[in-house]
Amino acid sequence: MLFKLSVKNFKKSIKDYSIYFFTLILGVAVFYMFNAIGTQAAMMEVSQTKEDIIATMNGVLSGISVLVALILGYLIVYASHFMMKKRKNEFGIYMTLGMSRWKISKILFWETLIIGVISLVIGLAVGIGLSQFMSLFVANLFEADMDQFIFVISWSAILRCILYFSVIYVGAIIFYLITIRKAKLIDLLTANKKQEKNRLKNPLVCFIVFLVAVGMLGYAYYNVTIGAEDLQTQGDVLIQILLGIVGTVLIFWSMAGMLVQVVKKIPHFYRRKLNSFVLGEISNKINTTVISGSIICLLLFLTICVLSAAFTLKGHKDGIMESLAPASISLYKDMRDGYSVLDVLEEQKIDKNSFKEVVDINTFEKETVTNASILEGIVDFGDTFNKARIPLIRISDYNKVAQIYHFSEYSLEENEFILLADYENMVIQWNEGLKKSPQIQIDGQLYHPKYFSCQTGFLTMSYSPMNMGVMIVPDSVIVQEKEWYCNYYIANYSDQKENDREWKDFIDSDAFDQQLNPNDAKWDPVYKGTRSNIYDDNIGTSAMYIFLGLYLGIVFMMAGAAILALKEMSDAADSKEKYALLRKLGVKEKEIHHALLQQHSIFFGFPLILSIVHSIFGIQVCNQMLGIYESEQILPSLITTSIVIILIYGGYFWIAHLGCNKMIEENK
Amino acid sequence: MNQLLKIEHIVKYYGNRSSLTKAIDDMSFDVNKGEFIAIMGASGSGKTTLLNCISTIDRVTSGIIELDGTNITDLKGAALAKFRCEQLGFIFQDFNLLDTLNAYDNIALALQIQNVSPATINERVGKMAEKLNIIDVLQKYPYQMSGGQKQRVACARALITNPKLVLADEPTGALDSKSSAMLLESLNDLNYQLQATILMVTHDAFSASYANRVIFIKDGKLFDEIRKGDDDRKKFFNKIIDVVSLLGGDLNHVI
Repeated sequence: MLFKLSVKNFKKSIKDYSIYFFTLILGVAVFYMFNAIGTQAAMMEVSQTKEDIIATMNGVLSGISVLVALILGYLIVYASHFMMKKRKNEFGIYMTLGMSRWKISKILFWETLIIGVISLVIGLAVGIGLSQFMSLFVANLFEADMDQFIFVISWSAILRCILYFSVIYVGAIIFYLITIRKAKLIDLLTANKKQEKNRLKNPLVCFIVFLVAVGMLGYAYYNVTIGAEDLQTQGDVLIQILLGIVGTVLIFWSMAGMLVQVVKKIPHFYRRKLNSFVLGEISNKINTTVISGSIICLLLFLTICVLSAAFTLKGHKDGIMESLAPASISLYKDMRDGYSVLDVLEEQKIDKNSFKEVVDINTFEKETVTNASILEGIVDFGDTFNKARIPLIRISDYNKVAQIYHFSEYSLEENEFILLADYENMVIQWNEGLKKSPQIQIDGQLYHPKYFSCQTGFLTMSYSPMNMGVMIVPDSVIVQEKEWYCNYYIANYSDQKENDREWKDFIDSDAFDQQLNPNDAKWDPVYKGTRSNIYDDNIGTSAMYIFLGLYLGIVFMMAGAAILALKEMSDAADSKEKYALLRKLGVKEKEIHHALLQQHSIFFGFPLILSIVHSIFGIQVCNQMLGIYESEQILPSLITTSIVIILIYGGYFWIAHLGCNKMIEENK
Repeated sequence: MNQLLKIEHIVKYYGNRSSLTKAIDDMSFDVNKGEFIAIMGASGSGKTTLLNCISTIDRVTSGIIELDGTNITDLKGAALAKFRCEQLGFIFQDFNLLDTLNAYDNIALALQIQNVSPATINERVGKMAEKLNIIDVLQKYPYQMSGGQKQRVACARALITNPKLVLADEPTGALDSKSSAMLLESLNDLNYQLQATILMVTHDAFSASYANRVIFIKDGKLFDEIRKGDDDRKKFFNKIIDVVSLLGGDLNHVI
């Protein structure tokens, strides 16, 4: 009997709580899709490096899934709160009919179970379907060969979905039970009639608070962009974040009180058709959702930043990949043990004919050329840093490197030197030092910089710009035997090996490292950088950023939009009478729907607009933190981000709008 | 006097073939301009259905309702909305004020819908507030007002558009006796000063005694009709009580 009642209630509520179901299904689907990426990626033919990254990504995604589950759990309990509010009267009637709280709890239990199972099944079906498209996207991002389409079902993801969502539903049931236990019959029966009091605010206070909030936000915006250099400690950054949060809350708080007062000053607008009604409703809505509105605004802000940062990073990484790995392979080792790279290759029987266009050069050190010789009086990082010697390279050797890497070649006068680096933070310091035109001394001879800024370049290839600094000096500098420092061996693969995939995979693998540096090696380790490794690493990591960004972004946005939509739906149900009254006053159907659309647009648009303003500054901070300055990467990522926002946020807006329109329709 | 509202043989059925309810069963009467009419009847007698049909919220099954020569049973869509906002004023038992607007804005809304200019709105709201003695509550929100104040604001909203017909559905139903009396006095004054035609549904003989004519309905049919004529209110009240006791049913309880 109770079960039958539950089934009936479920059927009835499908229509009323379309948003709730949409969110549940979307939540399960998104959860499945991102947890299934690992399984999908495992199906792809990818290199060792990418496989490693996929494993890392899998770990991170499942870690993030816990956070996502928490957000979805909160969302579902929040939604349940709305459902309960609507149904208090119903439970009141059950109670007056003599149904015990225990039985009502049982009804709720069955209902949640039915809803849970159905949404889980539909969500998983949708998720499995969508994840087949996702696999195309995954393959594309990881630049894997998709020769044949494989239908993948990830059982581990399904299990994880069932586990996490079971926990969430149990949480929802506990929430129901507590509400039912605590409820008083009279409150249940009169719940529908309770009118929310709109707390009136003094317009002057609102105006002052608004100004303060704008000031706080402006100050924080200034600090993180133009004044960013003065932000030294974590505490400073935290203060900006705090200012941003408090400012947002205050804007919401003051807007509700100020909006109507300001617009009232324009009677020709305020007193036209339903404008006064729409404004009153909106300011009431904002007033009752100051905190959740601010949270939603901040969630949207996070989403925009996370998404755009992920896409910008990918664009940036794709852009610099070419310049990071201009040759097939570069090897280097400390040569002070008497072994050059070539010696090791010969010792370990590695066919030198596999390589062509080989560059084999050395760097050396001079006691008199240390970090301090350039940076004296600029920075002081302590003795270890100050006394560290800068590696030196002869100009003719460097030009050989430049040739294979396609860098520009240099020429030097007898008393000149050039500083070469590409590690962002070091470049900044070098540039400061070089501005003062420091003189260095080598074997009694003085040298001065040819350029007053650091030149970009490196001797060995790495995953990201890592060259701390190399000094190029004229060929005339005499090197003592004991002053030789590192040996570099740079080459392209021979034409035959270039097409030998198996061989290239071997060179990329740890097995090759093992061969170069066996456990009982008599020589210092040889370090390796290959083009394919660097490419795969970049492709892999940027794909990981994209997935993380999308996952978090979609879930944040879903949570925010769903809360707004639920609030809209519950308000519409409460205001049925208001619209009935407007009809009696002779408002046309078209105008009523227009008024509703206006309310929804502003209610959804306001947090979005504020978060976009936040993001204008937030994105700049993100890019600064990531060290990305070129603007051409940013525009496409903004477009992609906007599409995601329009799809999810817009989707919720539209469903809520249609739902509300239906809800306030005249009963016939 | 001119005839304003003409109701001819209206019938309203509810339900389906298996269970049919005749809420109104062949009812006819006329209302003249400037009249204050009370409609009395027990619960379920069809008085609210009648009001809903006149106010175009509901449609009659058959029969004709004419307001000032226009057959309102044919109106649809935009014409219906136009008719409601220009010809009718509503007063409800539970006031139905919009809780997010203050009294002034609530009253002004009825004019805004008709695209009246803000200056005119200001002038007319001021005048109406003066008549109903609500000037000092104009800036208050519904939750800050007493029931009587709310109902007078609702009255102002109903009358501000100078409607041809004011429909009041149990306007004193949620008020204490003092507020009721004040409201009814106001309605009486408005009826007299503005020549407003008022049709009030009530099951309270005291309220009905403020009208010039009382129509009694029972089981969807016209049962009786008495006019105040030259009687004073007390005498009229007693006459109403007589009919009520004749009618029987739950109306007996209200005395």
